[in-house]
Amino acid sequence: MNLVEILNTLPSMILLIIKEILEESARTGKTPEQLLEEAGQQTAANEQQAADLLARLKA
Amino acid sequence: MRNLILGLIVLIGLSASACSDKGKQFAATTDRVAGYVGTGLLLVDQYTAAGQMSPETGTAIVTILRQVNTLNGQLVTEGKRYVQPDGNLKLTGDGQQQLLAIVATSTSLANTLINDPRVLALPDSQRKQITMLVVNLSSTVLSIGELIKTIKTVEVINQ
Repeated sequence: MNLVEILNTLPSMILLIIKEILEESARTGKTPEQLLEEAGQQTAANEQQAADLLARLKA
Repeated sequence: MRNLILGLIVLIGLSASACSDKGKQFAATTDRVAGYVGTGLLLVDQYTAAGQMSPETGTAIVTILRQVNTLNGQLVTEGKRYVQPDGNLKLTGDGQQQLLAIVATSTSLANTLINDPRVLALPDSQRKQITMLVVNLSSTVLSIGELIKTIKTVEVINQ
C-alpha cells in the first residue's frame, strides 16, 4: 500500500474511528475527567517506556 | 468526490452527536492515541529484542512515537482546561487553533514514518504492521481535529 492509497482511505478510516469512539463513549460509564486521567497515565507510561527502550537501543 | 462525501458524513455525524458528548469523545480519543503509541513501542521492543529489527530502525520509530506521545500529552493537558464538568467541550478561538496546530504537527510527524527509508526497508510483514499502526494512529489524531473543528468557540471559558 503506497502513501496515495493510504491517504485515499483516510476519510473512511476516520469515519470508522469516530463511529467506534462514539460507541465506546456511549458504552463506558466513565466521565471525561476519568478518561483524560487515564490518557494522561498511559501517556506518562509511554514516555517512560520510550525512554527505557531508547536507552537499550543505544547501549 | 468520494472523499468529499465521506468528509461531509464525518462532519454531519460529529455535528449530530450530542454537544455534551464532545468532551467525552475528545478524552476517549486521546486515550486511544496513547494506546496506539503504547502498542507501537511494544512492537519495537519485541522486534528489536528478538533481533528482527535493527537498533537504528527501532530508534527511528521510537523517537517519532515519543514525539507523538508528547503532543498527545499536550492535548490531554489542554483537554483538562476545556472539558467542562457536564462533559461539554468549550474552546476559545485561540484554544481551538492551538489544539489544531498540535493535531497537525502530530499527524505530520506520524506520517513521516510511513516514508522513512528504514521503515520501507523492513520485511513485508513488519512494514505492514508498522504502516497500519501509523495509519490508525494518524487517523485517530485526525479525528480529534475533525471534532475540534465542529466546536463552536466562546469568548471566555467560565468553569
